[in-house]
Amino acid sequence: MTLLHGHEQPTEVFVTPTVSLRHVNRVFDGGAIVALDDVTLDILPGERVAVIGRSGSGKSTMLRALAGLDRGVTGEVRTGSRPAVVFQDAQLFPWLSVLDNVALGLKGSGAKPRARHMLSEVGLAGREDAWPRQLSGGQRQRVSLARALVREPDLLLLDEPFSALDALTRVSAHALVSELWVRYRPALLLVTHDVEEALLITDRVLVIEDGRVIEDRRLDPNRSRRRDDPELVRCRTELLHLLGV
Amino acid sequence: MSPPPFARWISPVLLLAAWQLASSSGLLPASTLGSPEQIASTARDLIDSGQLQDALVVSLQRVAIGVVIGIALAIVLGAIAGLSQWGDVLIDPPMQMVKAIPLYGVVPLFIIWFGIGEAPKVILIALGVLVPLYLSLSAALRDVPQGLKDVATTLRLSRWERARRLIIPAALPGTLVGLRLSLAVAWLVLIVSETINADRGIGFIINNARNFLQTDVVVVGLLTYAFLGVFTDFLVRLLERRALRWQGGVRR
Repeated sequence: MTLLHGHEQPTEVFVTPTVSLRHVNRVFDGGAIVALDDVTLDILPGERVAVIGRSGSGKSTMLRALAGLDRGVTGEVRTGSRPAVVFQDAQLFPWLSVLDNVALGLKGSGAKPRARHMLSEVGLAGREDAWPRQLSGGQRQRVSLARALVREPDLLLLDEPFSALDALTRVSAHALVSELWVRYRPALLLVTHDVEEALLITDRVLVIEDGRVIEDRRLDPNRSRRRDDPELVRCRTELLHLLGV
Repeated sequence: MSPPPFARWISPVLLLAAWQLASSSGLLPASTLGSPEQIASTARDLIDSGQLQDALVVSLQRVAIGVVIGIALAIVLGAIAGLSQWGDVLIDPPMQMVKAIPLYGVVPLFIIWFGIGEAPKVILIALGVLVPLYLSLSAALRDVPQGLKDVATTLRLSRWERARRLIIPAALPGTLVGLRLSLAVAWLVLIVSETINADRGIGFIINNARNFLQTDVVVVGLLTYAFLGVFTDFLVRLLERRALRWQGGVRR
């Protein structure tokens, strides 16, 4: 860190992080369960970060804190000014049409056209008037992604969004998320228990155990993203080892 | 061979024919039960003289006032109990106590308190509507999925949007079930309260006829009650189908 003295101007332009956590804690049951243990973390604008860990490691707690869904966290939490979340189950409102789900909460006359455009971006043009229950699991998750992205979030939070999808649908969902990230460039935080998924989609992997970040690994953004790339395989083995597999 | 659609009418028609036969042959005296033919002509007479319509208006009015009061109370109390934990703690126990008291058992008390005019009837109906509707509404509000509430929070829905887009549609199916039950109870309470004492209305016609052993008039009164019950149930079903379209198959 550079220390500034007097009227000296900074020589480097510092980017304000989108997410900034300082000594963040979260306990449940009066301290019996420590879900987040002194977590300090920055996520820069447009950065893609994966959080992996076993069930109950605290990864979902971190996401909920960043989504503004948890008022019980202590410490300094600065999250995106417009965070958007894609939940594990698409969590669409079943009584609203697909289009109304995407446009939900948007203001102004441009809401519907924007929602319509975003639906076409996720490959669902023509399904605007369908009810959510008429869609497949993969399609519902795409609606959920459209609902998040139409808000032009500076932080996109993905809570195991692919875990309920079948293998083939998952591959195309991965591709879609990568493609849309290139276009909209939000900071992205992916919570997953799938190491390979983390390595394919993001450029930085955090391993969480007992509420602590035990590994913060940055990857070369220009690396090969082939599943059988030796570097990726090696990295996957190491991370799996950290997870105790 | 599966039965054709009209087959469901065979047994009712046969029963009606048997009833008519029993009456015409003198096996079933008119003082016990009038014949279907006699009942039909009595119904026509009551309608032609305007008696049935007048009685219907009076009875409908009683039910309408009681139902409106009951629904309003149920919505206010159910919303408070379903949406706030303190509301639940404070409102639910007394409501559970009211639920445990047999509704018709309080009639003597109501007569002492409110006399024998319109008030005890309307209040009894309101109470009959209140309990099932309150129970289903407060339960439906408590059961709004947490996941969808989280979505509403992350989408930063305003209070009004949250109510209109999430809470109300989510609570509607359960509430409508309670409403149907409530309206069924309303008719039953009306019948009971009109049987106890009434100087006007369908209950009055029935009681009056009882004094003169006019079984045909009693049956016409019963049929009117039955028709009203079925009709209101039909209305709620219609409302259900309209409000719960999204649960069905194809849109529109």
